Amino acid sequence: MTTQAVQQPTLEHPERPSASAPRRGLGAFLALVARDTLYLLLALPMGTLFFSFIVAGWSTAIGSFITFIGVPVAVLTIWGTRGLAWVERSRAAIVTGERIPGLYRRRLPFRGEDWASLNEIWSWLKALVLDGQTWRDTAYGLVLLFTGTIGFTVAVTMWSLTLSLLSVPAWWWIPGVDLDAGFISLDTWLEALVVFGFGVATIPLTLALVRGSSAISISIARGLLGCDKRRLEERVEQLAETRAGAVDAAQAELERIERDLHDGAQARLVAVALDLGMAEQRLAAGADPERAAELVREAREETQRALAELRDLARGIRPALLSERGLGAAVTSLGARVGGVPTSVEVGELGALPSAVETAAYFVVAEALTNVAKHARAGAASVRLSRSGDVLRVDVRDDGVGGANPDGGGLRGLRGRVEALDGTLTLSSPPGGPTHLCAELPCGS
Amino acid sequence: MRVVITEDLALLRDGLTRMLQDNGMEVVAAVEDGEALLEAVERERPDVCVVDVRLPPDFRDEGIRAALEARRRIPGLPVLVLSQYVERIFAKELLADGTGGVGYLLKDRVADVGEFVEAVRRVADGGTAMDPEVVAQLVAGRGPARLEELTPRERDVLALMAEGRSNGGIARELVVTEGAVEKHVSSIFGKLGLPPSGDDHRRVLAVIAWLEE
Repeated sequence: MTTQAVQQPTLEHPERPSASAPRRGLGAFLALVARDTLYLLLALPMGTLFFSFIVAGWSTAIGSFITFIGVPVAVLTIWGTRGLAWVERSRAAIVTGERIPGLYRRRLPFRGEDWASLNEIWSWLKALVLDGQTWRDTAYGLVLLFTGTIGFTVAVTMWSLTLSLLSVPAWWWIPGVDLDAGFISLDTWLEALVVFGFGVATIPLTLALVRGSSAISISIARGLLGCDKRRLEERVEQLAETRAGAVDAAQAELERIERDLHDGAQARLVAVALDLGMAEQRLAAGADPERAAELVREAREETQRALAELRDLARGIRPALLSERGLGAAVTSLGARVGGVPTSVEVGELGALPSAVETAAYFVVAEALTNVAKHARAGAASVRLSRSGDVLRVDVRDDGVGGANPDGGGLRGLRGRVEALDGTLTLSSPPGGPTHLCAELPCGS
Repeated sequence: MRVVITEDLALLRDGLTRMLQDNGMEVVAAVEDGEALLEAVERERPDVCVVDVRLPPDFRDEGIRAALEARRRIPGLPVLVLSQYVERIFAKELLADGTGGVGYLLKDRVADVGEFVEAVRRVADGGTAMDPEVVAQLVAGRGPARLEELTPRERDVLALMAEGRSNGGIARELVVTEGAVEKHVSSIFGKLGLPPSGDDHRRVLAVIAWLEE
């Protein structure tokens, strides 16, 4: 239901010759008008269906709004509207040869896994209702009944007129058929020929009206169902922002690593070199071997500290367990390490994940659990990794005091990491708890 | 010999202090940042300062700037700058005032205690101590074409001159006689068209200027 909406649209949408209409000239034009006719004929049933669906859906939803059944009915109506809008975008392909690209503002984060969290249901409903495309779809559905009726009528009337006039001479030849329509009666073959001439004369008019009605319908569909340039620009802007954020985050991370190396392992190795140099000096002079041994021991200890620091640093870049055993094992091991808070870890079927997604998911869990241990004063925490379609979802919950700051340093860094992968990070942490951090990472195939 | 050490990491500050003391120097102050360095030199008037490049508050080039400021306040104050990496631009800034008593070494050089202590003494005496890494960068920047006229041995001597070694020092390093070094030096100066100079520091400036040209 949702994946069809998040197609990658092209920025420009010029009229280009589609694959199904490569021919030029009269033949191509007649084929086009034939497709226009089919398109217009389908408009009335579609318009009737769409209009009735919207009216029935919303009147039921609004009528039952005070009982809680109204909300699910409204949601089903919106879903149905999107489905019918999808059919309408595809119907346009009869004429243009390609679907009208649709674009919904947000991915719908909720997949009905957790009916218990009101917060989550609320934010999901908001995403659904606040998407302008939902309402443009609805408007289109209502308008379609009228434009569809007009289009259908034009196509049926014009083609019947032309075809009946053109077929008169044929009927004339059929014996026993009396062409007496009341207001007009044909008694001679000459009269029949004149009527045929009228029929020929209506052909251009029919073609023009059918073509025009179809073109107007298509442009209404483009206007309401298609993603206009402004929305694409918004999306591009958002991508540019998250990209800049990602670059900043990566740069900050590199600077941190450089600082850690400079002040940590590098400095320790300099100290090791210094101790060994001084020990060497003493041994060479043959003086004070005890002091030399002490210096060598200090150097060895410093080497061990340098190794420990390098290990920690490497883990901060990409934990070894993640490379060796994958995300499930690495997150399970994180869960076992949280200080003092019993943490349950649930790992669903994840399939193969891109390495960047694994690393981001790992650090989301690591940072969230660090915060749980440090600030939440929680009795228990839970981690869940699940995948549905091409989205990896990470949920970390705790029953602590809540009130986590979404703009705190750690979370902001995580957001940068997640948004860099075009994912979303949502935090719900009302004062008094509970806290729920949710990251969704597309792991496109 | 009285020394002021400026290094923000306690581990290295203590190590340097101990090493210099072991080698008969007096560490009159061991401080953590540039401000403290300036105070210490005004108060103690040391024979030489040993200064780390990266210092608080921003951990950028505070050490270089503090060293230059100290030399502005006390002209000719010998300063040996230490760093975990070397950049020729910093070397250039240190050498820019043309007076002697500057050094710029990788921290790694502390491993060779004898040579490091000798470098500290050389800087204290108004000489120069450029890290071989800086010289290598300069030589690499110069391109091999202009150095082709020199024999491999002359190139070694050129590099050691750029580091600030005296003829005696170069002779010890290459295990040759001082006379042989003198011959190489005058041959190099002839080939490169540099004015002969008896003063080690002027010689460093001439060679580095040629390399930077």
